[in-house]
Amino acid sequence: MKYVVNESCIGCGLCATTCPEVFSMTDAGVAAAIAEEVAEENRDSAAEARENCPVGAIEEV
Amino acid sequence: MERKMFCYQCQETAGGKGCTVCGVCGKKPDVAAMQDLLIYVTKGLSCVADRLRREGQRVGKEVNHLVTMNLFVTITNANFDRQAIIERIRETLDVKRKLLSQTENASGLPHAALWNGDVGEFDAQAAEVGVLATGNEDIRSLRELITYGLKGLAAYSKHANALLQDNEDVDAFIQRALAKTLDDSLTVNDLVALTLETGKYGVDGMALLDKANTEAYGHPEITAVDIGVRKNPGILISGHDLRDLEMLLEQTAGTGVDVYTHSEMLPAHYYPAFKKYPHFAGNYGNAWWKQKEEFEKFHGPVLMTTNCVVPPADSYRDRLWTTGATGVPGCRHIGGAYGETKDFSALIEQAKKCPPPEAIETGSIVGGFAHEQVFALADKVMDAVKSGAIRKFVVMAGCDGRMKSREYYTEFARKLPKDVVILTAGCAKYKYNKLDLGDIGGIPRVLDAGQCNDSYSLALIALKLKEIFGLNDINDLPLAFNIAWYEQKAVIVLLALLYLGVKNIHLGPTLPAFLSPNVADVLVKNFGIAGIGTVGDDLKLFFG
Repeated sequence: MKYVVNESCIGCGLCATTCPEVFSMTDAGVAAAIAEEVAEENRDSAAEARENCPVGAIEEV
Repeated sequence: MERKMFCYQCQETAGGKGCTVCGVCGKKPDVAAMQDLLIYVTKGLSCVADRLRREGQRVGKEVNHLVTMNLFVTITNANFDRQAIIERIRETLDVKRKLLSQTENASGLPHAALWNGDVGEFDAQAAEVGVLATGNEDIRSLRELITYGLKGLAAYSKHANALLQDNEDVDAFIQRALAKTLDDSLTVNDLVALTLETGKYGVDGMALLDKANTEAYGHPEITAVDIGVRKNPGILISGHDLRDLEMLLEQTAGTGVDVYTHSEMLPAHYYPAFKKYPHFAGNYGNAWWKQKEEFEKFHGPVLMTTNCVVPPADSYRDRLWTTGATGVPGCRHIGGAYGETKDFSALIEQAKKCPPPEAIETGSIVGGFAHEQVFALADKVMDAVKSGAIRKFVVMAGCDGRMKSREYYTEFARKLPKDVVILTAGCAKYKYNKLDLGDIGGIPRVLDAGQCNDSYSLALIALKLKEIFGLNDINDLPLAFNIAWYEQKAVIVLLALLYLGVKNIHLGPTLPAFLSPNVADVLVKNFGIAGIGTVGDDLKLFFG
């Protein structure tokens, strides 16, 4: 399972707070997801970040 | 993560704790900082105005209007324009300096009342005066609860002011209460008392706006509102300001441009005065949070008269216009003082060159169940309750929002027992107002009173039912409260309901982040306030 953050991101930082193992804030002030598969132990928190993204910017790929 | 700002005034605040990097609403840290400073200098101005009143001096309406507009500007999703907020800070400091020179005795006034800085100092000062400047979490919680309630009250006052109606007592209270949020001698108990007093003035503020609206535009009446589109180009008007709508309808008459309402402007259709405009076409779209997608498809100009604005996509930025308390960098703003006619001609000219809106829905929705309309149906309602056809009412007023957890309200409405009627106001209704829940003996199962401020109507209806049924306590009515909140107007509605003695209000989808555990405990113990659970559990709780 992998995620991408699309152009709807408003840079609120919620995903990076919820699941810092997968999401981080870039220098451009928006979020980005790691390119690798999400490790088993982080799947729940990554899914929570996706679920709670206020603008639905996190997509599963 | 480094903290660049701190804001937790809305329901969607990051992690249910606070936005620290950027607002979930889209507010950047540099805008949040100026909002913090605007609140601070407005509190300072309020301290001085309150001192003048205590000295028996008169404080002008222009000061009251400055305070209410400043508070409104800081409501969630109202204003993202840093430069516009800086101008308001400057104006507020200018007015305060003049008032300060009129005081007989300025001793003992807090730093906020005495601070003067130029724009180069604003950011440094802002960093000192935000929410976290209050160390004790319970005092901070109550100060913010009161401040947010006052923001909601200020918004309602502002709408009444636009219709040239004022309540000096409400304005004086707003300023007195703002001043008290800076008073370090006040205890938790003092601030709890002030919170409840804020609710009392919340009732007065909503009564003022109800009077202003109904005297200007008549009492809302049952109305079916078209949610489809026509063939002409259109202007979409959003927010809550009915006076702006009236001016726009007057100026678009005979131009070949139709006017559509969006989100919280929907209830304008219920007022008799607006029915005379043949180009007042209908309602387009849903609650505020879907606007990016829907404004794209509308094709014509969109006028934001109040919150909720979502920072726009570049594709329609040149079609988004702001007025009143709203502002978005790069979008044109239409000015105009109370009593003046705003000039919407540029917006209308733009509309004429735009294609007509794209249909996203068809059909109609019914509303207009404000107090006078429901009183007219009182016999019918009473008979339905007495016969058992209506077992219970549930107030589901409040706000809508982005979080998926709000699907609870759609499911809750859909699964309600068929003998339960929803009373609603505010944009929360969009979670269930297109579900076709049917009627009970001709009484629709969703009775929409209007905008969020029309929760006042729901309170009057509840009091009327209490009178009709000869009850001593509003809580003995067959009435449950399951309210959805998002921004600060919902805070004043909640405080107003508490003042009216309503208990056991359920508030969701999450309780406010600004309630500390101890303050939440006070609300739970004294008023039975609770969050929401699962739909199944809550249906069982409310309806057995």
